[in-house]
Amino acid sequence: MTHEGTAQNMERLRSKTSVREILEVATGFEAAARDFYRDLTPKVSKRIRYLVEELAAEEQQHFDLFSSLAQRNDITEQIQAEIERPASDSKFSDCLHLPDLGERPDDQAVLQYAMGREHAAMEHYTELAQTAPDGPIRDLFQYLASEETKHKLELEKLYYETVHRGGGV
Amino acid sequence: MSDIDYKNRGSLLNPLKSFAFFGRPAVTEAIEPRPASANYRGFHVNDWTKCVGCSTCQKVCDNAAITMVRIPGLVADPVKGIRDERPAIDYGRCCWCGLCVDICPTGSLALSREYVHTCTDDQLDSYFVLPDSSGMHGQPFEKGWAKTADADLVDLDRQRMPELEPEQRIGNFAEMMLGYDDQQALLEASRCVQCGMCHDACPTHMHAPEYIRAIWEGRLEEAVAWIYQTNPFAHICGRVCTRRCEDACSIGHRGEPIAIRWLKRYAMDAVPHERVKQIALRDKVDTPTGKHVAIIGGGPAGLTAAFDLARKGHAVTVFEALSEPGGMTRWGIPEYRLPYDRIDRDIDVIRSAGVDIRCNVRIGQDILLDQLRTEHDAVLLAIGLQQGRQTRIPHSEHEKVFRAVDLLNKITAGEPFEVPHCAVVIGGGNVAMDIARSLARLQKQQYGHVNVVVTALEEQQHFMADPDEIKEALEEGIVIRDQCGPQGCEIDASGKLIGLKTWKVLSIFDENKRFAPRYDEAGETIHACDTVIEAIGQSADTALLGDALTEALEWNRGRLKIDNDGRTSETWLWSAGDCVNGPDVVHAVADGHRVAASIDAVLMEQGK
Amino acid sequence: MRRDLPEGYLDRVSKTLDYLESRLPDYDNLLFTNKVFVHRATGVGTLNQEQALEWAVTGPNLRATGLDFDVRRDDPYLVYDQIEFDVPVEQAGDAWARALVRRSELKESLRILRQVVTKLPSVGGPIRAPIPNPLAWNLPAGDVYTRVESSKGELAYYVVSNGGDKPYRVHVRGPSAMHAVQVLENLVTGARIEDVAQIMFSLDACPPEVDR
Repeated sequence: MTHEGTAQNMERLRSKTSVREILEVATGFEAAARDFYRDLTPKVSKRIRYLVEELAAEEQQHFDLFSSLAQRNDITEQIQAEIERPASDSKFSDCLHLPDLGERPDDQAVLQYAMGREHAAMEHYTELAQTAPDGPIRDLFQYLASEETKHKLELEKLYYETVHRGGGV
Repeated sequence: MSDIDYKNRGSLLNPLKSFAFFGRPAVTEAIEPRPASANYRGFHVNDWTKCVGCSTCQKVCDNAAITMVRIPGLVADPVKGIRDERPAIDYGRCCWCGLCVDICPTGSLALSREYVHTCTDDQLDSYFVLPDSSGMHGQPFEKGWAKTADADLVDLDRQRMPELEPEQRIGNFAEMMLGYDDQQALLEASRCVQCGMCHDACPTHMHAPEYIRAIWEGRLEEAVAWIYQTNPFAHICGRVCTRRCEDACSIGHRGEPIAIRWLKRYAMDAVPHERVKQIALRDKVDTPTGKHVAIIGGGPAGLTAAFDLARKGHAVTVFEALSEPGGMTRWGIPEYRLPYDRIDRDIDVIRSAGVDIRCNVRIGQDILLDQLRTEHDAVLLAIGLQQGRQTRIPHSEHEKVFRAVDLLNKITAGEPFEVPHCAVVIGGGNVAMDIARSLARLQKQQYGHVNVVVTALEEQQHFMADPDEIKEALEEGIVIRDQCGPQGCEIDASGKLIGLKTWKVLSIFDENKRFAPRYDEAGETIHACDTVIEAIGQSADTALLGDALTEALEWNRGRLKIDNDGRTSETWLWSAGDCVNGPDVVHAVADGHRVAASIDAVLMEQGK
Repeated sequence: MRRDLPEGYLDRVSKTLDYLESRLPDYDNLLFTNKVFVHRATGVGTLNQEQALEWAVTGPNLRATGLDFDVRRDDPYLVYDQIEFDVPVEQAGDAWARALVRRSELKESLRILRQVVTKLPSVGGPIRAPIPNPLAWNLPAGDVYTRVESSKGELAYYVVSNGGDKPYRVHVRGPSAMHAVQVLENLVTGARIEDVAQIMFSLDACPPEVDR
């Protein structure tokens, strides 16, 4: 997973010089996350399996998005258009540790883990964007950061609706 | 007497004295209609954006000149108290008395200063008009007779129910609201316009207009009979109902809605319990069907279903894990809001219908679900939401961090626990208020002071708790700190809990009204305390289903998947109440009825 | 009372009263001291008091037969017990007597209205007492007959309630109902054809009051 060995990942990404290469590495991270959720699916109660399945599907979408992007010729232009839509950040997950999910995680544990993962990814790409030189590489990192931020925000909403809304399951 | 000298028979010439008459200019009137006066009672105008289709105008009309007409495409929302009907006026019957305007609950209806309409024989229908705000002929006319405070026939002010003052109630768990006396109930009932919005909005469609009418007519037993038609949790809902009815009440558009809940309470309290029992069991079937239903959970959903099924002649056994039935109404709601003897009365009626309630039996431990399945014709799962959600913020696993529902359970059970000297509650719902106010009472009793802080994400006016609860909590000395997002529990070097850290919440909803709190790290606050109580939400404990059944059942986003009748994907198992539909007493009652009807239909089909 | 009077209304009433009074000499010249009118009205359509009571005639037509009765004075309602006025009575019972009663009542009406204008209190606060929700009135079953003195005689409502929020039966006694048909029918019997109009108008019948 992305968060184990952050420095190593960052080194790998920083050493990439082409937009397409960066996308390939990012795509690899998404595939790893997707596989993680797929492995987790049978371990959780059927009651909350929908959540893990949705997360796996989400990562698959991410995977599809990044890989299709990597194959496009007008990629620079495309990235430019995307990052002009700024995604707002929130500090919510900052205090969360990435939990050890254990044998039978519940919905809250899964969601906390997923938020942590998106948060870590967001931070990676943001930091990379800050250190990259002006140009398409920086644009791409910014784009990835904004995508991860959007996902994290989506997950936070789900988390609050599940845990903090009086009712729940 | 007369100042005419009529003995003088007059003169032939006298009329000539008024010869000057002929020289006076003739009186002329313009052929155009004259502008009508400010209060003129001309043709109706009705603001459709304000009108809710309550039909009160129709009811008050002495000439039966008003007909409610359904308008396809208009908003119809029972929860908000809006129908897609608007009044149409028959000007062949209308006498322009304006009573419709004076009684209109929303103030949408007015009479305009337009008064001319004429037509040929073949257009006689043009006297039947569906007024909107554009005027009878599409010409703008000013309003004439319109709603004024003087002429308002709607009584906007509710009868206040006497209550214990904060200093009288803070040191004990005595019921705070003291109930209406006869006169107050009569006056409150007389405010009702019988529009029936309450009935439509109520999850179990209580016959509120009918029982309010019966109270007003002084026929309290009839009121109880109406109440029991749809709700065996009659005392309970007379005290703690979430009252969708009052949200939908037509009077609430400009004034205070009718105190429907308090009127129900009044009727239930006024009729002796033995009479209530007789009334409630009037339509009980005497012949047993020979079918046996097991119900897991003795809360509102389970017991309502049990009551219905027992009255239909089925043998019903309710398995309750705790020592007394009532579910959250007993184990969650504090005694000062809902005295236990009222719960006992409702349950006594249900028991007297023949329901066998077995307490202290936990399915999955004492008896396995499989056994219930084999020994009964149907099983209903109505287990509610008994597990408190946790924030899982750092250090929230500390032994001085509690779930509100666990403490409320302890208070009901009379189980002693160490009352915190200084408690911080996380959450802005009714459960948060319940635990805060209960702890405040215990603190007052044991330490002579109140030291409870409620922190919640929302701004105070957007708390999920009932505004009355918030007001009363503040009166009792509870401190509310709104817009605080919990970030972690603070622990000192010795491992002692010393506070709760929160960040200021900047905003809570995104543009789509979804929960997405945004925080300001700079607004960090440490709320000093020795105990933190989490009251953020509850979840169902479905462990009793076991792995195999959990796997076999179909689920829907974390809840058991049920059809419209409450039946799960396993044909022998139904589910109802909070555990499938979220927390709400009256909703659970409605659920109980629905699921009982389904179980009865299925069992009777099998019996043929 | 549903609303307060509009601004300046009482001044307008006073002006109208002055104007109406200024017209009285004209009426007298044209009718009441006009020899032709007096002659043509005298002895025409004579109604005696006994018949008038039997046929339930009220108001000016009854007072023209010599019976001194006026609801406003003898069974007062509203504020009539605080108002000074005279009840004009004539004895002859013919068309001329009926005309004279009405002529005198013009003056009395002006007198009454002038007193009302001066005595009307000006209210600073609410005009209408709070009325309980008309959809929840607890009315006793029973019946009531209530009457006022209208220009043509007693206007009365007879209302029967069976306890509901709307009346079970409402009967309106329009005063003309008595004299417009049955009295007229009897008075014109044997009268000269040119007197019929005279008799009809002297009775002052309002057709809508008949149709009840």
